[in-house]
Amino acid sequence: MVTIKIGGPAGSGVMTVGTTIAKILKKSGLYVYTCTDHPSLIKGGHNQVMVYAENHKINSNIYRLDILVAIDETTITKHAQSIREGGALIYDSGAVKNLNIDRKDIHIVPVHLKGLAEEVGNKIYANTVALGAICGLLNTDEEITTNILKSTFQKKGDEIVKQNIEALKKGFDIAREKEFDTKVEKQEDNNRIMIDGNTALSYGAIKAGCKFISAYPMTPATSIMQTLAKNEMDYNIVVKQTEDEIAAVNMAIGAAFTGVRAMTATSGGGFALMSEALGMAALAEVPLVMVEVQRGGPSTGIPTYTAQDDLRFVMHASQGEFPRIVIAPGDAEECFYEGFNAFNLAEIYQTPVILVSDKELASAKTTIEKFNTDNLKINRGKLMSDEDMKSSVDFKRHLLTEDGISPRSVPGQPNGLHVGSSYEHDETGFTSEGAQNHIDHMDKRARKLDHIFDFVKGIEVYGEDEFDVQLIIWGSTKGACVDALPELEELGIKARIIQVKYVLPFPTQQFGDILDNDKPILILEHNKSGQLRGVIRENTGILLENFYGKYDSRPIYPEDVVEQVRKLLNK
Amino acid sequence: MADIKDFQEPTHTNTWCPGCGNFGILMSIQKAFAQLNLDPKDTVVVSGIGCNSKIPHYIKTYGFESIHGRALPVATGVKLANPDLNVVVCAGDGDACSIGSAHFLHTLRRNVNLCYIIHNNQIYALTKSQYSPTTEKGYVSPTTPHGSIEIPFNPLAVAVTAGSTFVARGYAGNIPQLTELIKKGINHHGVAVIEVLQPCVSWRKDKSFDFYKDILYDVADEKFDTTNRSNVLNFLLEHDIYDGKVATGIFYKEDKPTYSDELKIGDKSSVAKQDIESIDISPLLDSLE
Repeated sequence: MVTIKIGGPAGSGVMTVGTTIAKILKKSGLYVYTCTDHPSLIKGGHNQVMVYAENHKINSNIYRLDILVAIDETTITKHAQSIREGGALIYDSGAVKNLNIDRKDIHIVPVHLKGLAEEVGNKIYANTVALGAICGLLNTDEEITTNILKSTFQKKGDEIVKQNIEALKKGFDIAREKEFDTKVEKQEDNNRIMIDGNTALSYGAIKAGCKFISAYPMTPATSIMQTLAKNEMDYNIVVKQTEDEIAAVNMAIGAAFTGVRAMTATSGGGFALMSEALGMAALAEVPLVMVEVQRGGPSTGIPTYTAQDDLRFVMHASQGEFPRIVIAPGDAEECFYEGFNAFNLAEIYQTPVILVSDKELASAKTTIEKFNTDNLKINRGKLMSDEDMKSSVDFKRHLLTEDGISPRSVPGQPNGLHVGSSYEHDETGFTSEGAQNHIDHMDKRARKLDHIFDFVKGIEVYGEDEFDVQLIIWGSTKGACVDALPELEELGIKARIIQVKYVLPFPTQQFGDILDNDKPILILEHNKSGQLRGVIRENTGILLENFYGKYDSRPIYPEDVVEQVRKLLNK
Repeated sequence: MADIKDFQEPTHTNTWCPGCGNFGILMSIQKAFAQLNLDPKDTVVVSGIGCNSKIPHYIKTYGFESIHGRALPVATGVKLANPDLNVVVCAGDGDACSIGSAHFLHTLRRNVNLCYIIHNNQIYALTKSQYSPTTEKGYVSPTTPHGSIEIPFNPLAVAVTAGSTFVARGYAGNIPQLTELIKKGINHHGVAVIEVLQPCVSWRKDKSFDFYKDILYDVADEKFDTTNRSNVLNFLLEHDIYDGKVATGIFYKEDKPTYSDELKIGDKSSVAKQDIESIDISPLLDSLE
């Protein structure tokens, strides 16, 4: 359908234009995917928003560029050559004095953004003029467009709304004259929602009854704490911004010890600081939910860009050996449902659950059907009720059981006194350095997860039963691969996607059953070394020879997937 | 009234050295709990790591022996999740003033309603006698064979500066006074910091019970003004624990709302006790455009 890129310095309103056009297209009944590309600074630099809209569900951005909106010269220099034949360049003729591009095959739409805005009354409407120009090219529905403007600006008063509508019209009228080949026809939007991965995950947590989050701001995880904070009054959530990530994770553990569902969220650097406490949660058998939203590493790395290079890190962080669950949701829906599940699993298995996301998944918005919450049931595992505890005798918090999971009392309950401890302990929680005791409790903790795949699905499969190639992926790479399927089909290639959603414990049995060793296999990851590839080899003995690792910190696009598959199959 | 026996845990073998200053602190805590008639099930003792931090295992309440330096954030999590619990935190001088010093500052400025007892023996005892952040300059230890170069950390002066609303010092060898300080610290509505001078009989024979016998006095006997923050700070800076007479007692007390009192939340009762069975998120989904 249409892709739009808006570029300009940070602070110039690029983001607002992007968000608003995305809303208009979504309201027009299209499926919209929108993401940002911005450096780590507040003002200046080069910010981009990409908005992609289709008549069908989309899960990623694409390289094709239909409309470029340039608020500054840099945007033209960087991206004008990428506009497709027949596409359009809208640029601010006030900011760009000499347009120096050689493209006779595109529509060129100069718009004096500030000048036109001032005609309306104030240069602050410049962004709305730009928005109007996009709407004009696409001939968006007037009612939808003005309604979105109204809802965006109604808080600022009728006059501001009126002037924004006028400003929009200025841009609209200029661009409308162009005979752009793509027009938006209004359709029913069927109450779909537009949501990013972090918001979806946060809503999953709220639905799961998470009432405590302690975290330290870190891109690209911060919006999780902010989303919970926004809802702290309505949903009774204690939101604690801490002095550092060490405090964040330890507070969450202290809170979880009292029986509240608690979480923390961070990125790689913060997770490093949380490593020691992660092991404590496992040893003390405290249910803890952690979110690690990856960005390009190592160290501070490329903090506002995406990557999948912390998988091994979250799998192995902290000293010693203990059970943990690592879940890698692949899209906003999975962020929601796995965000919910994580809290059940943490309480059922009384051990840390780590959700691994990434910048692209966390912040890109997709259009999806509203979440169905009917089947989401709270399961608190062996958490004892006050009633159970009244008659409890000789309670042992770390009782050696067949399934490795012990009954759990919390402070405030009678007959359940115990000390949560970072020391190895006996069944009561008292420190024990005995050799046999250590073996018994190591075994007890290890066997907790033996049967997890009786309850959760570790692997998801997409595509037809008949296939020519298998694509193995984890996390947000799912979007580009799913979106590549139709184009591959057009090339006569049937692909099957095997998504490893639960990485730890690894669903070895299921993976072995699904993988067809006789058909070509390609593993795609957003890292250099092939971290999942190593995990698969380690667990199954299978060496996946064809690995595509992208590590430029920009998302994998469907075109990349198609190219790699063609290369593999020589097609 | 509860009895001290209600808070003793006879089945857990105590591994402190005979004569350790921790015994006096343990007994003072148990006495304070008994005299305040606390319910063991509603009380949580949180510690870090070190000799002193074994203490939750010797007290019959709920407890948490966490990792080195992190007693305060764990305890903050406990208290903010369930403000109905009595939360007492025990930390050593290494825990409190070195590895956990960031948490020390920030917990105090938040005025979390808990009682923080710093067992200050001026030595890293469990790792066998290295100098600690509260050890005096020049001290010879295995990691400072030619004498330490740093000036010591002054926990109470820092506490006053960081915004603690209750600041006191006790002594492991004066159980009646320490019991009273702990009772007041627990009853204080806000964060209470109690530094306890603790003889280490194994590594600091120079700071034995004999050493402290004649040098301590209680500021309460001198009509000390516990309300003037800058005067208290000056006093604590000028009268440290290293020279001459050493002051004990309550130095500072202030009434202020606690963090939980001011928490921005719909329902201030314990979030740990709220029903989570059927949370309706449809308003959130409906608000998405």
